[in-house]
Amino acid sequence: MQKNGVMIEDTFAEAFGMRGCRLTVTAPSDHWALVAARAITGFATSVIGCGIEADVEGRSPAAPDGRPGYDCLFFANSWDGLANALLNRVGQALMTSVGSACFCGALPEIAADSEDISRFDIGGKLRFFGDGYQCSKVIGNTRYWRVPVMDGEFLVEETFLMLRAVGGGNFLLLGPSHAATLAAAEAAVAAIRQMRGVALPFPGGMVRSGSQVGSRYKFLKASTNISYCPTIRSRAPDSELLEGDNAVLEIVIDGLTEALVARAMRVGIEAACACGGIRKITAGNYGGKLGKFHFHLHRLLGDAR
Amino acid sequence: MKRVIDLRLTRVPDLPLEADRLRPDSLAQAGLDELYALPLLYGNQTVAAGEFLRGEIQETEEGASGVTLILRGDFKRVKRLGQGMQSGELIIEGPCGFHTGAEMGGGRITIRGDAGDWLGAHMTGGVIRVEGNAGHWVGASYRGKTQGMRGGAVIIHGNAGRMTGTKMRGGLIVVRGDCLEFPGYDMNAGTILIAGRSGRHIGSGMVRGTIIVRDGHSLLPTFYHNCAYKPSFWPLLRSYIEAQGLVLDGWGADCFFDRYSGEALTGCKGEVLLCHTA
Repeated sequence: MQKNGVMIEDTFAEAFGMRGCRLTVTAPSDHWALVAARAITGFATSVIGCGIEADVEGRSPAAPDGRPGYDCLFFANSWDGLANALLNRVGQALMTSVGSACFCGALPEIAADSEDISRFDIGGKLRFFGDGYQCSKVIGNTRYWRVPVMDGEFLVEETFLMLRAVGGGNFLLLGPSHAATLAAAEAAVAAIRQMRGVALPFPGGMVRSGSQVGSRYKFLKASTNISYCPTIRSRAPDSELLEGDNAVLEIVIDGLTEALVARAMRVGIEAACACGGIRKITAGNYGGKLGKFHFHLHRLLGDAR
Repeated sequence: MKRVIDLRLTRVPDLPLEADRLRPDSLAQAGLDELYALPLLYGNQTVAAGEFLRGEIQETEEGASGVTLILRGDFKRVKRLGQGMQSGELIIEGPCGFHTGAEMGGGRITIRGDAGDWLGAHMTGGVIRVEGNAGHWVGASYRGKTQGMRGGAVIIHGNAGRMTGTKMRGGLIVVRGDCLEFPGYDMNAGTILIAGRSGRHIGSGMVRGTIIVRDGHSLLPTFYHNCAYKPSFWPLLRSYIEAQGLVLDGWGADCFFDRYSGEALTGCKGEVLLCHTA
């Protein structure tokens, strides 16, 4: 398949079932809300090394306390993994940020009575930081904890929603130059970032150090994706690159639902093709044996409406 | 299916009439005959509800499902309306008597008039909205009990009497107007907001909880000033109150409050927030 002169390989991206969560962080100003959002989503590019993947989704359309706020998405491999990581992150990265407050983000993507949704505790555990001076406030049906801190009170909702989500949707852009490939990737990221419910956890929304499972070193569970590294093209036994493929960038997408990941992949690929300058778009998979979700590139683009 | 039971008080009772059976959730299936036959305590006698009430039942497929009970007339001498109700909506088009909404666990009561004493006493959920004034002991505990209101909200557009929120253990009471003495007496948790003038002895004996006032001139000496700040929960509380149909003029989301801790005699875990920009 060709799209705007870009070859779309007949392959699929292999993604995995994950647990996802949306947090809304607010602060006295947009600047400090963004500081808090960046802090809590920092060092969260890949579950391989960080245990969690996260991204700032965008400005919160309706922050509960009416202050400037940002929605953040988090994904991890397990319920416990996400709950523990978020407890640490809210405690260490958010509570420490000036004037911040933390709320459970709404999940309009999922029916409220879905079996895929569960609740986990953050505020109810963090409250002990108050050393006995913490207090709670129930407003409507929601309990918030008020932890005394040096600039006032840190307000955090007691429980948050977690849902079964999808992580690892991806596509790779192969181009003749770093500049052309980066431009196409930037166009894809910009298009995907218009969407809600999907996260691009890597820096700037793209990753240059894609990985393969395993390594020749026993102590390493993942290593560089040698099939797509142009500097070792002639040495790699199964390089996927042709003469003239001088740069590869990958977009990795986590989403609250399978449909959102599929749509984000389609939107991103179309934007990259519209930008042009690249030779080929492909996707990463493990032969279909590891991941539950398969996103076939040709089907995604064929379904475009 | 939406079920609307519209009843009118045909004569004002000479003696107090105890109407705890008049609640929307227990009338979800009842026909008019069954409703008229409900036994109500009238003085020291039992009478049929039909002696005082007449009306009609409408059932429609339109709108949200549920039962709405509308009571029209002067119910000042009718006690325990909506007592213990768990769901549905009760609308009282006029004043009502003691214990309205007491022990309710859910649903919504709207009173388009004044409410008597013990409004929402021991309630655990639901919302009571009073468009007039409320009597004494709103959301309080009955004598001998250790916990009053434990959840839900009472929104009073007018004034409230004495002992509002006595031994309250949770929930929210909002008084748009003035409140007489001893609001939050022996309060254990929950929130009381008094937008008008407050009577003396605010939070006397309170153990925990929050009392928000504009007028703190009579604050007890056992409350100690902490700081002036913007409580981060205030915008949420304000939005919730507005969602219940009450707009507090001058109480903006950016209000500053003086925070007092008290009462010192009972552990100092309670708080009085004095709004000084309202």
